Amino acid sequence: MERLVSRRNFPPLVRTSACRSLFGPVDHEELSRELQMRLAELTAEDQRRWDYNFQQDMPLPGPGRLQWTEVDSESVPAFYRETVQVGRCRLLLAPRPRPDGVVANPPPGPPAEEPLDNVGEAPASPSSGPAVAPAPAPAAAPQESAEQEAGPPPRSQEPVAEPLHSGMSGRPAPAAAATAAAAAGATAAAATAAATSAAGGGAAIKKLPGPLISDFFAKRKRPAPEAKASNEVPAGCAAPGGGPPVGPAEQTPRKRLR
Amino acid sequence: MELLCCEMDRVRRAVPDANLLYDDRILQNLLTIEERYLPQCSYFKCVQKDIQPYMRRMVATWMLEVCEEQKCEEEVFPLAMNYLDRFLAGVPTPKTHLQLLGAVCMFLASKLKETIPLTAEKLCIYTDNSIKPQELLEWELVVLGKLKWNLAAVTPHDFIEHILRKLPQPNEKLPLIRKHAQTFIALCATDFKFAMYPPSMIATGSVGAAICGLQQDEDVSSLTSDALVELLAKITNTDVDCLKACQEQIEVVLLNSLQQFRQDQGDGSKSEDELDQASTPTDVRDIDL
Repeated sequence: MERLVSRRNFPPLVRTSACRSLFGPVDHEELSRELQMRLAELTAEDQRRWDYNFQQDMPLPGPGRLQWTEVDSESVPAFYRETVQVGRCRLLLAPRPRPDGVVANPPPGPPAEEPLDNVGEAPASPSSGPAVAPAPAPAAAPQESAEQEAGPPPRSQEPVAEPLHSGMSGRPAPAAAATAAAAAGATAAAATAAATSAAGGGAAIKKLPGPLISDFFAKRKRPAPEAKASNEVPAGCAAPGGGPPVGPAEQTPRKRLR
Repeated sequence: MELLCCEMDRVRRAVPDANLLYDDRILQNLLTIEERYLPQCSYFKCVQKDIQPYMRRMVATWMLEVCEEQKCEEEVFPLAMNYLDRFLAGVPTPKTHLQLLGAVCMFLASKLKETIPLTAEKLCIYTDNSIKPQELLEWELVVLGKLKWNLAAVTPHDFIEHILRKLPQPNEKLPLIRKHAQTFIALCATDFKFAMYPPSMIATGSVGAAICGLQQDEDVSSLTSDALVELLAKITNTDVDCLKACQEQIEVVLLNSLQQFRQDQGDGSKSEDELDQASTPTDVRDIDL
């Protein structure tokens, strides 16, 4: 304790009268149980509020208040893109250039079934890739090139859905992937190679499917929650039924300030 | 040498920003939004089963002591109490977790308001190590979540300068009035009956009480006390009777606190020096009503 104190530059530790335990010893196990309970409450609240399962990183399937639309990762500012932490540096993962097949059809307005589509697809690819995040199954695919082959087929059989996931353009049929990876070369390779090699990865070539990581973030970035009807509560406002705990009146003040 | 002098300063401060302090729109905006940060209910009746009002006073007194010892910014303590009240208004909490909650609230308020915030380790030492830094950090997230991350609450301190500049007080008296008003604000934060009052009213009442208190020694104000209350009420759009009542309550709390202080003084618990160094003035003893 003494050492800790001096290290923290605590003013010469006069153990003043202010150092005191007010209500007796704390039951740390009870505290921890309570913590878990409160965190679970908050998680449930967040899920309700955003119609989004943050654990699995998936929109909720049902018709909810919000409708989630997937957007191309390249269409959002860099700020929103996935980064990877390497030591003290934060590197932006390069978005994978769109493979030819996909470039041909530009992304149309996303149909409403999109979230459902996602969910339906979920079982298609093996769920893994916890290394980066507890990602939904499809997003996890890019982690390994092996999985990549498992993932794409169902997707490429769905011409309508394909452009939807243009942000996931790195999800072409396996053959296309090879060419795309090669084409990706110049631009993507620089950043991704840096990222992957710094991340302790092996041969750069093997990691070139690395751009597939961009699938992952493209997939998980659904930065634009849209209110289903314009008259609904805008995202960011307290949900009408707001969480009981601190009460619905805890709302974002900025709303009215502006 | 000069460098050494600079290092003595704990905090480098910006100069007062006239754009923020002398623009009436700021005051109006503060008045508009302040109610949003009040606790939603009088929680001893409707939410808490274990916690009693005297326990809030205990934890508040402890928090004030910690803030003083650590020379926190004035706003840290009232802001932390605002977090505590808002949390307790929604989350039933056993009394054994109350001190942890108080520590978390100071931790958050300090991070929001200070250049060099309190550390988790320090705060844990102040709980006599009854909690661990790790627990503090975990609960920080819970408190943030329950407050919906709305930390920039309006506190009475936000109003002080806006009020003071509209008073016809001689400039040289202002520092003393300000200091006393800040003391009253801290006192109010320790007492639950002020928890549901809008910050502007507490600020106005505190300034009023400060001027009235000082008036007895010297000629601080050219106004009669009635005229003063009316002027103050006008500045913050407060009802005159409410304001008077608030000011009286502040004076009562002050008296109680003075008595308490004299008792403590009898115990010789704190030296004069210690108190004078504290940035939140505890010099209520200077004021005689």
